[in-house]
Amino acid sequence: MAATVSETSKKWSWVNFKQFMKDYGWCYAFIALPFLLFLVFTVYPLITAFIMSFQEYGILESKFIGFENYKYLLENEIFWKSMKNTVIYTVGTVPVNILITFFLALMIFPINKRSQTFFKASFYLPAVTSGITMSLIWLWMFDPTESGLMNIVLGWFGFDQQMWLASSDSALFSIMLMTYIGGHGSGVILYLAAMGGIPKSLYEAADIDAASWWSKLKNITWPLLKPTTLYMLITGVIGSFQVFEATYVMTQGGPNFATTTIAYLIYQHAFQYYQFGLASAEAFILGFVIIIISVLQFKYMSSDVEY
Amino acid sequence: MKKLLVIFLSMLLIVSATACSKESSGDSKDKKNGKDVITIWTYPHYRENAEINQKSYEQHLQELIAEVEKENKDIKVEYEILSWEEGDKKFDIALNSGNPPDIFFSTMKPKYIKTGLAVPLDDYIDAEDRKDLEQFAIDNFSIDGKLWAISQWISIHTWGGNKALLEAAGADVAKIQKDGWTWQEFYEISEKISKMTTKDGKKIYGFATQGKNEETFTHLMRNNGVPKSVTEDGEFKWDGEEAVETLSFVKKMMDNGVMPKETAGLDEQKVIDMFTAGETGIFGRTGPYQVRFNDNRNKEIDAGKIEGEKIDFALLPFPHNEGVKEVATGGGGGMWLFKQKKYKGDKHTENAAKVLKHITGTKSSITAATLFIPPARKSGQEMYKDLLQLNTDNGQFIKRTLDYVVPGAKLDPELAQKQDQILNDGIRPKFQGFLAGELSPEETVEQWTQVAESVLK
Amino acid sequence: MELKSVTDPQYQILLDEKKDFRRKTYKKIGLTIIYIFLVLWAVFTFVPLLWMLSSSFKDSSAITAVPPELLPKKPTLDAYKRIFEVGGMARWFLNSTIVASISTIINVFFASLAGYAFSKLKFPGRNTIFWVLLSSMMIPGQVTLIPLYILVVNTLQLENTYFGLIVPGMVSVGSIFLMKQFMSSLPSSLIDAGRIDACSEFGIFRKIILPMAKPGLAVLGIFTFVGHWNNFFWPFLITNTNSMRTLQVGLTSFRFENLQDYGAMMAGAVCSAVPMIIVFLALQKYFLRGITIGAVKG
Repeated sequence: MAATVSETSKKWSWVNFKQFMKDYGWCYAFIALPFLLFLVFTVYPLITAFIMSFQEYGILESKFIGFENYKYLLENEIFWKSMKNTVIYTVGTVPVNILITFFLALMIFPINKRSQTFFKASFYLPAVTSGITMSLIWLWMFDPTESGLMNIVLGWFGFDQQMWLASSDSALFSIMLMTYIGGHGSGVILYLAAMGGIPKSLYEAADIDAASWWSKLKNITWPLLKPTTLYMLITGVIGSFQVFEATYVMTQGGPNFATTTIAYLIYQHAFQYYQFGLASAEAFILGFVIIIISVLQFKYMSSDVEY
Repeated sequence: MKKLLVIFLSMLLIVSATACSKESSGDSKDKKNGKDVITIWTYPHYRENAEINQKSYEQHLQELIAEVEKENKDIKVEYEILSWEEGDKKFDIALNSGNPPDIFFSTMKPKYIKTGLAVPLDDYIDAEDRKDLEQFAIDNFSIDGKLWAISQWISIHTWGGNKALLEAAGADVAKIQKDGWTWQEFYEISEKISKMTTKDGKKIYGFATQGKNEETFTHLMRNNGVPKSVTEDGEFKWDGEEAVETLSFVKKMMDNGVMPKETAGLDEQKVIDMFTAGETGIFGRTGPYQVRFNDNRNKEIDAGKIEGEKIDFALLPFPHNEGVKEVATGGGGGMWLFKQKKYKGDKHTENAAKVLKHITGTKSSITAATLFIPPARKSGQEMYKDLLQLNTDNGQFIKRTLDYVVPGAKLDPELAQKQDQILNDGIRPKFQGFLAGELSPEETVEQWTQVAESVLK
Repeated sequence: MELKSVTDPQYQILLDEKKDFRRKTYKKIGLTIIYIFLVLWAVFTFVPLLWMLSSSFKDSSAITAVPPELLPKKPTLDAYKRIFEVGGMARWFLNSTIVASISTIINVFFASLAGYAFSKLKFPGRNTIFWVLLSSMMIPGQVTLIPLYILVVNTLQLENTYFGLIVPGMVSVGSIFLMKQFMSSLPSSLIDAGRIDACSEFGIFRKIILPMAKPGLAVLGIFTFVGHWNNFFWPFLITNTNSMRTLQVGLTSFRFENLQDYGAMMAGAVCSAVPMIIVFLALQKYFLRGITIGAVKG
């Protein structure tokens, strides 16, 4: 540490600085304002929350308790149970949904413009209604009596009536099912925008080599869409690790903790018990896990695409 | 592009300008024209209904505020009507930021007291005022011998019944309302109802209740000799025979089709929908307000505005187990007084208390009466007795219930938090598992006891 | 197949024609299957929305009818009347429009600047700064609510102002990340060409990058707009008078104790969805255009 400091200070001079600014000044100018706002409205609250995670938070007076919050969580059964639920949910939804999205986009891409607009709109529209409204509608569809819509549909195919959200066996799966059916609109639009950016010449060249549909998909489309896929993967994982609304509106974590996710647990600790220290500790453990997963994803998925 | 830049730069300028200027005028929020500003946060209890000549809650509140402002020229009252879904959370955040409103409407929440910002009201109300409040209203909001809110009403919890169906099953509704009924009597009647069908041939259930939480179970436990899940001494009471017996009773009803087997998936709205569709004879929980809703619905059916069958609605007491004393349950909302972390002075608190007293005074009982809930003030019950229809069968039942309603355990905030934790980590999730048929009564009680022991140790 | 056919030129032509015909038929069949599949899927995703729309025209007894009426037997505009009668709708609409538009413009501007810097410029600390930004996304917002509220309300005193509504959402790391990913797939050769033409860095950004990035900007624009338009909780925390409420906050005032006005809720959801559908249709024509055109010109 000390060595590097002395090295940079040795190099430091006005001329160097001017050259540095000439080379990179613009780069920093581009990110300066966003970064400043980010520091004030994101980093500052985050640091405060981080300090809180070592405290027993009180409004009038907070008490430092070292790693007690973290220790409590790591020994807590419900914390691990909710961690497990969150991981199952993430593994069960993110890759599946990216694949569904990718194939939907792939199917929409070759058809004519007008139909494209129609389908893009149809897939995207559910996203414009707020999450709470959607959850309420789904709650109604998952009605466990024989008049529930999902049960009526099952009845058509001769299946038995299901309890959906009301049984520990099917509750988490029901919430996952909800994401399979709706909510691909944004991804489809992203993929389509990125597909539009792939130069036609690449496909033409492949056609000359009489490449099959599959090999074009494997060698051109998929690799060139990697930045978009990486974006969807990372944000998808972040989003599903923090999934909250569906649980909050539809099941309140039940039955028997089947749908308790980490984000819901954080909510409970913060707002039901006013244990903000504990909630912060939970959030930072969760954040740590997501960061590790994201770094791995970047490592294996990221390759700068140039053509 | 240029336009964008201009918009953006001007935005930034204004932002920084306001951020700086605000600091210098720090107290502008608390003082307007030299007046002391008192803030109230409350909820939209009811809306305007021109047909029955009913004003909205907001209008009623405005009248009370106008009066108090007229009497006290140095006070300015600002109020906000929150939304039901997220109002609590907004208050939670304001409170935990050290900046709660001066007055807030809420039920009893020990966690508010624990923050140290809630102000006890004993110094601000006199003996006469105290005497005017129903004893239950005072008990309900007292912890550590201090009064934390002035109650606006006593919301009695009851069950509700379809009189026609009950009578078809041979029940004497007036007698049940007057003397109560046992589990066995209740079971016989609801079993008879569960053999009936609606006009379109759909099954009618004897009893339906929501399965999202353990509320109905709590009511049954209280009528099986166990009024508190955790006592003041920190003892867990849902660990024995009585709990198993009560759960078995619920299970018997589900197994025999008296209660829907999908109870685990029913919410309150669904249960009320079932009741209005005539698909259940008895349902819980409800309260006196349902009488008013049912009246309005019947009127609308008469007027041809909505379709459906009219229902003759009866409030019903919770049944009690043979040989056990009948216990009614109630709660109630009231106005709390808070100070801020940046203390605004004794004078401010005094003014806030003055406003609080006025908006919970006798005249404010109009709110309770409109909701058809008994007001917490005896003088208010008298003033609005016509609106409350206390001389009807249902009204007589409400009056009788007021005499034997027993508040829950008065736990100190520390223990209350533990009770909350037992509830959320143990009782509720395991109860849901029980309703879904995943746990037997014995297993359920065993697992409750485990959680309770680990929390209370 | 017989072996000789391969060498027979006459037969070869026939075979080619046959192949061509087959390929065309396959393509047709393939497209039909695609259409059928897409229509089915669209119907699937549309069910919840249709239910929302049809419920908004039901009277209160039809909403809770068992079995549910998929289409109202007696359509009525009562629910819409109710929400417009309460008043404030116009003002809520205006507030939502102001907040969502300004937030979108600022967000898109910042995100494209930063996204460009992070994807196409090389400078010391680039990756570190980017990871600092990205990491902040990984902590759930619930725990920063209290500190943020203290900052905005107690320290900056922005309660019940447009600034309070807009300022905390001016920069979104998600948007920056999206723009970085999007721009990383733009050809770098054009940027180098711009540099040779002695454009200033901002000139390159404005004249080369922005036109090429139009599809990305449009996508980000609609995402941000929808996000801010639907945002409920922050506006709910920050506003406390009717005149400052946004649409989402205003619409929650239709719930009264022990009584859910589903009809009004659904009508409100429909009303709040309409502007977003308009914005979507206005922006969607940019989704697919841009890059290839820019590339040809370059």
